[in-house]
Amino acid sequence: MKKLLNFLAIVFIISLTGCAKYTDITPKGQNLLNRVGDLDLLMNVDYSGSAFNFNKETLLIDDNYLYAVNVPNTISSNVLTLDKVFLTYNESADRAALTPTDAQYEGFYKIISTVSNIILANADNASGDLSLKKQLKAEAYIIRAYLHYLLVNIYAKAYDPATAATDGGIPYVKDINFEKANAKLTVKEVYDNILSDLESSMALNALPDQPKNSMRAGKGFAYAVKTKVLMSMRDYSGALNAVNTALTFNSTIEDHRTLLSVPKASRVLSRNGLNASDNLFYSYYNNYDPTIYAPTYEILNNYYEPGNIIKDSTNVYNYGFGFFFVGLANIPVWYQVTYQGNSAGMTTSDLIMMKAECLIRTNKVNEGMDEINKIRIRRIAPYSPLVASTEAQAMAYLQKVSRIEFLFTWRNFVDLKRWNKEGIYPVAVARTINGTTYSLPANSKLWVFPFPQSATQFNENLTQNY
Amino acid sequence: MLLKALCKSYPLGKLFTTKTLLIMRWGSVSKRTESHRTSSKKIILAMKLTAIILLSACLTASANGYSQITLSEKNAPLQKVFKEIQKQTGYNFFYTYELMQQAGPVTVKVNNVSLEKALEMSLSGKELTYEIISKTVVIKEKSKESVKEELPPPIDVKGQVVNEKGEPVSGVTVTVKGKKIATATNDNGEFEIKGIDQNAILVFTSVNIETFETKLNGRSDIAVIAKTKVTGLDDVFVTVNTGYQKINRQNVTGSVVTVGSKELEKRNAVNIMQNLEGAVPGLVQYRGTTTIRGVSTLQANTAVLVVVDGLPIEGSIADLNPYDIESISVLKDAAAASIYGARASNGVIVVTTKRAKERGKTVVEVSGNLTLINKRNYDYLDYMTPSQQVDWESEIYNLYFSGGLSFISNPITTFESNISTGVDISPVQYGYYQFYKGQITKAQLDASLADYKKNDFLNQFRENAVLNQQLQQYNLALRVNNGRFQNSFVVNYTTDNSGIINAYDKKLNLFYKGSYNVGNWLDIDYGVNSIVGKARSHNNAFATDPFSVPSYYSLFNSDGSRASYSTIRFNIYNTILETTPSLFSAKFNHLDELGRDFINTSIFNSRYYVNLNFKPMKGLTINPMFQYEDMRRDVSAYSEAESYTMRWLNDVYTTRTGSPGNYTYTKLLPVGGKLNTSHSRSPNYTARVQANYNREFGEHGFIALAGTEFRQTNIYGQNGTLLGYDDQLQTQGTNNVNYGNLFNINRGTFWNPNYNTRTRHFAEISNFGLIRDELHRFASGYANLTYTYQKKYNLFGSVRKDYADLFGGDEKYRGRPLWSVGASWIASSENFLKQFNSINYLKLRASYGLTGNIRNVTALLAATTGINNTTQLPNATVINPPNPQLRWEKTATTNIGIDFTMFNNRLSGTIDWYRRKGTDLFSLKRLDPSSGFTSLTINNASMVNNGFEFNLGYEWVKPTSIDGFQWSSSLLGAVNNNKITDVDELTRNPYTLASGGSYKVGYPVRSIYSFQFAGLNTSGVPQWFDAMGNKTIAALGPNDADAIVFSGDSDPKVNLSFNNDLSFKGFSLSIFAVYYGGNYYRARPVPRSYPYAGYGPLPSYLLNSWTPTKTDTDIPGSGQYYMPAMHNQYDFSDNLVRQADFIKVRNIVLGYDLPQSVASKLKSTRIRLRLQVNNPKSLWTKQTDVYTDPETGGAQIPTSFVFGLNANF
Repeated sequence: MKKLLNFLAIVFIISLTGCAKYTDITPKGQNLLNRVGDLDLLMNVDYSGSAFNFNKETLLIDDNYLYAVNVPNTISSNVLTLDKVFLTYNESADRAALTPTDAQYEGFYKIISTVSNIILANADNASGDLSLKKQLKAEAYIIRAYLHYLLVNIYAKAYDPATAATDGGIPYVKDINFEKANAKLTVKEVYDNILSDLESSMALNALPDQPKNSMRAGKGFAYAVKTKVLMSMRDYSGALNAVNTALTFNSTIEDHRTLLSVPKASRVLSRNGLNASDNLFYSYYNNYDPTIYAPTYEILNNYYEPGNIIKDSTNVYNYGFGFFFVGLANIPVWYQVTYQGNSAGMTTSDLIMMKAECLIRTNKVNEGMDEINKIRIRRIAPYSPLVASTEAQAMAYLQKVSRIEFLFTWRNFVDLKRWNKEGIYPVAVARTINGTTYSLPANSKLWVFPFPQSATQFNENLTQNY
Repeated sequence: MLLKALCKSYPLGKLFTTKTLLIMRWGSVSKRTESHRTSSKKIILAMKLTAIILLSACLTASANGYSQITLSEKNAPLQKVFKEIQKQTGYNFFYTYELMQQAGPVTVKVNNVSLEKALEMSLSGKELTYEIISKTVVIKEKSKESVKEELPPPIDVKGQVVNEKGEPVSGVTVTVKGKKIATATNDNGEFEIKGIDQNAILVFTSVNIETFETKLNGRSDIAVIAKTKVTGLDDVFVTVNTGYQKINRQNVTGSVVTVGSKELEKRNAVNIMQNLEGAVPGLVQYRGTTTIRGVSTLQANTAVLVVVDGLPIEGSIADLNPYDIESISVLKDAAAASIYGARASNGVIVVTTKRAKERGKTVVEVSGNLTLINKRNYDYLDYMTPSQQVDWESEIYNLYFSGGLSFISNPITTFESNISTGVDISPVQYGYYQFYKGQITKAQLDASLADYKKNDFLNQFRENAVLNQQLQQYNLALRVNNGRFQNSFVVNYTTDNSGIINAYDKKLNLFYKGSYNVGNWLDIDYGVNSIVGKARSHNNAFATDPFSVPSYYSLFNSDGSRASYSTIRFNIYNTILETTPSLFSAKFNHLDELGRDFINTSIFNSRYYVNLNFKPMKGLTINPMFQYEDMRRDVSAYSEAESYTMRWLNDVYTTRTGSPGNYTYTKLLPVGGKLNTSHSRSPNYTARVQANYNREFGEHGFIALAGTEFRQTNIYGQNGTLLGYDDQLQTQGTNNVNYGNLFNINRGTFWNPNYNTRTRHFAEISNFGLIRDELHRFASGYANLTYTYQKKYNLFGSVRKDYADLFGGDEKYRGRPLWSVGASWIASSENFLKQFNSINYLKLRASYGLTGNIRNVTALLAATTGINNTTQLPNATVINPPNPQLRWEKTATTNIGIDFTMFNNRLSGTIDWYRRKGTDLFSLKRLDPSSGFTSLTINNASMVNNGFEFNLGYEWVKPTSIDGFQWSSSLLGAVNNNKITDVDELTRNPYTLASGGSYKVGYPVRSIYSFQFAGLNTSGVPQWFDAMGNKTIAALGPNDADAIVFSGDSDPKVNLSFNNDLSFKGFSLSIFAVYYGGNYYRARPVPRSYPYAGYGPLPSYLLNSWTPTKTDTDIPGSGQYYMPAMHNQYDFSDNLVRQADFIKVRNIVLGYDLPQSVASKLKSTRIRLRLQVNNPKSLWTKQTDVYTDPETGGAQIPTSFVFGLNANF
């Protein structure tokens, strides 16, 4: 009897050790990230959705009103919302308390950590095509630099060579570690890291001239990002070199003149978001961006040049819907779902306008104006070239053209923030709604967005930068 | 090895007579108790022994005659002595050579003595004894008992207890009079007692039968007929089947409810779960989910574990044949369920199917039921009548075209552009357009409006498309039991017309199960269950919905032919699709489409099992079990070429080039139908080896088991699409389709540049893909022990360790020990309680233990494969961070219960109190998003369910005879309070909280959170209170999280069921009513404001909309007072929430058993007729101001009538 029980006990124990082995299986459909091909799949990120929604930034700089939300009601409401704070430039509001989460902060770091950093960490040990491996690493560096660049522009002050070493920046995340809290670096440290990642990427010399689709980074995009970063750091000659290199890969500009060949009622503005020939890198909030965006009175009256083809010669702007969405008289909304704007990526327009500014800022005003006119000739009918005699005049033209060219996108926010911090060519931001004028001073802390509570509650290093 | 042994033994076993087998077993068992060998060796030994005995039996020649014996042997082998005796007497000898070897030589000298004397002399001094059976002498080892007890030699008795109807009676206690030997009958009424006196008297007692005695008189196989005690109450002595073991109810320490076939068959049901409603306190089926004692998890599996004939199944409990259920046990507390370990947190339902019981008889059961269900009722939606809608639309569109709606600036041009771009347009709107255009006069307009008012689309739809649902169930069972073979073959066929034309749902369920008694040491059970299902349903969502067109439409033209109209995707006034020859008509008729566009579903589920039951020694059984399940499901949706689906798809995917008057149309889709298919396969298996030990030593009883189980589940499959498909010709044209071109059409058709083509249609024409191959494995080892003292005190303990494929999880956490303890005391067996005659039975129970639950997540850093929706390239996404500490959820349950019967068994009941504390529950914990993740699923929440349950039965009138008047009632109830005690509150965002995106500590899992409605403002815009108590029309922000109020739990807190059974002379009547309450639901439709009428029916709340003169309402203004909603707060507003309490009569069943005299003329043993009404109108609902039913949240469950016939032959 005893032996029998012993025997059963032994059977029991053997079967238990067998249990651990029996249940040790690798599920199908799981990518273990240990082959180059697996990592390539990881790189096929869809750069779209709420992380790439720059509404709050474009609302701040008065490009547009609220996204399908009634403006007068929001202002008159006694409920304090971020919408109301930004509409009225209320500096005293506790914005951090109104920001429980933030899709941009969460979304960008998600891609940085779970795409770029995983590729950079796993690539060396992954099996497969060596050249693809190098290319993936180069892409990962570019994406990491680009997203950190956007983050530092949103959550920190604009780069100022005088104070960058002490201005609070953001975490620059380069490793996969879920245990420790990421440290907040200074603005200078962040830019140094961005430059270092750009260098690492270019040193690999593995980016394709033309990526396989515009949601993958190629050389054109890499140099475009470098240009942006150097311009932020006020290195205009360095930026000019970079942008000239970028332009060797793509210089096709979107052309609105083709619309004019049919009657106005039939003019349908269209753009294939992914395959548009001017894409450097395609990214968006909604694939019908900027549909539903309502431009402000200031944009309509002070920035649109007379003869703008979209505004004056098509039905893209819908005034009936405008009142419906934002509740303001004579405010239209952009309503053209066939147009898939590149609201969160970059296009050749960026290259042209960056080149123009670099030229203007390095004493080549006429060459700079030529670049500006390359855009204008495709946007204005009837067209006549603009000529500037001074750097200041050229910059004034550039700021107007670029504001419309990049309307409702992150570029206007980053440019205005940079110009206002630099202080040489500041752009005044003020809006008048139903007789009340609200202004955003150039040094307002509103230019720096708060870190969301979802971050500050779980990372005590993250003090606000305003 | 066991199987090999089994195969070898089979042909031998067939040769045995019952008696030789009995002898063989006797010998081998008593020998084995002495020896200390391992069990598997024992079996081999048993084989050898069998062979040897068989051999000796064959070789020994039988001789006749009887004579006195004379022997004279000196140091002779025993065999030689026996041969001599055989020669002199003709008696055969059975012995093993081993025994002879052990015994050694003997010296014996006798003269003219009897056989017995000669044997005694021969065996004196040896540890051997003998037994004479017929003309055979069996030589065997002396057992201790036989040393103690003198002759006559004891015998083994087996038998069966049946009632007057020949039905086996289980749970009958069989005691040997004057001895402490006792046993109980099993499910088949069978019992076995070993080693008792040939002339012993057996006493049979049970609460269901009159106590009686039988003298054995040497019989070893008896059949006794017990007289049924006439009582309506279920007894407390039946055996409980936990799936792992069958145990007498007296010995149970946990909370288990067993519902027998008698109770289950009282009402007809399509699904056995319907029959469990109100039969098991604590089992709540509400709004499609089944819970036992409340919700126990936030994110893990919430399904109750279903065990059929001992093994868990992956298939649905709904697939079980309701006519073939012997009993259902629901295991509620840890002591009962912990043996299921990591899958038991949600409770366990153990189903035992019927088996052939009556020995030596072939039983045929035939049943047929017809259920007629009332047509579905749409009243709960509370739409305007056609006439009201025409009036409402008239008012709005009069304003529309007269410029009275501020948001429509150029009504005529806007409207004309709407016609050309295919925007939906209602006939009333078009009428006013014509009137304002001057195309018709006011009189013509009024005439057409008057005509519209005469129509009633919903009514026509109900008359022509909706059917009274008709459900037919047929069941045929053949059962044969010859004592060693038991065979059951059950065929069940159900057919359902689905309540709509041209649809059906048919299912054939075939179940063969058998068992074979190879020998006293081995039983084999085996079975095959196959379910074949074919169903046809409709594929076109517009066609099955009577609300896809305005309510004043008509299905028919005035001449009776079918009318053509448009769906919401187009309008009837734009004729481009009708007049262009190469395009397809976009016209629609519900009845047409209900005949052209079908989804055909075919299922084939099978389950195979083999269970072996070895009994190597007294009290011990070893049980290898294996079950394989294979579930296959094939769905093919065929839209014919003529169907609206295909006509519309063809038009949408047609491009136009050229200029007006000279257009060229290019079709991107091949002309023809479309076949969307989906195939899924799910093979699963479970293997288990278990040892059971069940033995009594005097006053001490032990029931123990230990085992190990391995289980694998798997599902995989594919989807596909064929375009240009023709079912008749069996042709298709998918090969020529350019999917790239089709995908590139994101938005726009040639008539409407804003049509959302890709989102609406690309998936339905390109449904290619995989159902991801998902494989899971579970393994476990377990043991439990029940110790009984004096049949009054029971102690129970169990332990189980579970492993699951937590991918990447630390091995330390992958297996987790779960355990339980319990105790029970049959107080009524104590002398001090025996003096109270009113107490017939009283038992107290207490238990505590842990059960587990799991969520299949990956603990390792890995990515899942998907598609980049922009580039359409495959991609991979890292969903969760590595989390090797993932482990099982743990639920600790404390249960205290009492079982009693009182007042001459009139009152019986069970009361249980419990507390279930769930810890380590999976929930989200937030992380700093810069780590790449905003949250991580870890084991960090906890919750508690507190409650009590009772089940009381009372027999008001006891019948004096089996046909006498009898009336009994039962009242069951359960109260459960659920509360989260620890969770990471994920949000302060009021909307996220109200919409169910987070949990709060201190509140139930299924809480309803709402915005506090603050009335309409002076413009008819709804307002809500913010955290400061101010009224506001704006969306509440994070600072206003405290403005969200708790509006109650959506799970019922209390449920009661009340059942009355009456019977008299073959008639029986049972009335069953239920109460659910203490919970809340969002009962009112969300009052949306309408700028103008949409294309469809209009909700009747619009008639109560705000206007400057009608401010006493909470319906926002519409039409000229329309204000676009700024947010969706009204979806979760507290003024829409209502209490959900209700009382309903669930069913009334009238049954009639044909008198035996009539039945026997039809060669039947029993014929029963039944009339059942299900869900007559609700008796009471707490809320009377809403149209939705509190039970379903939508339409009331329709009333149905069941006509049934049941016959046994």
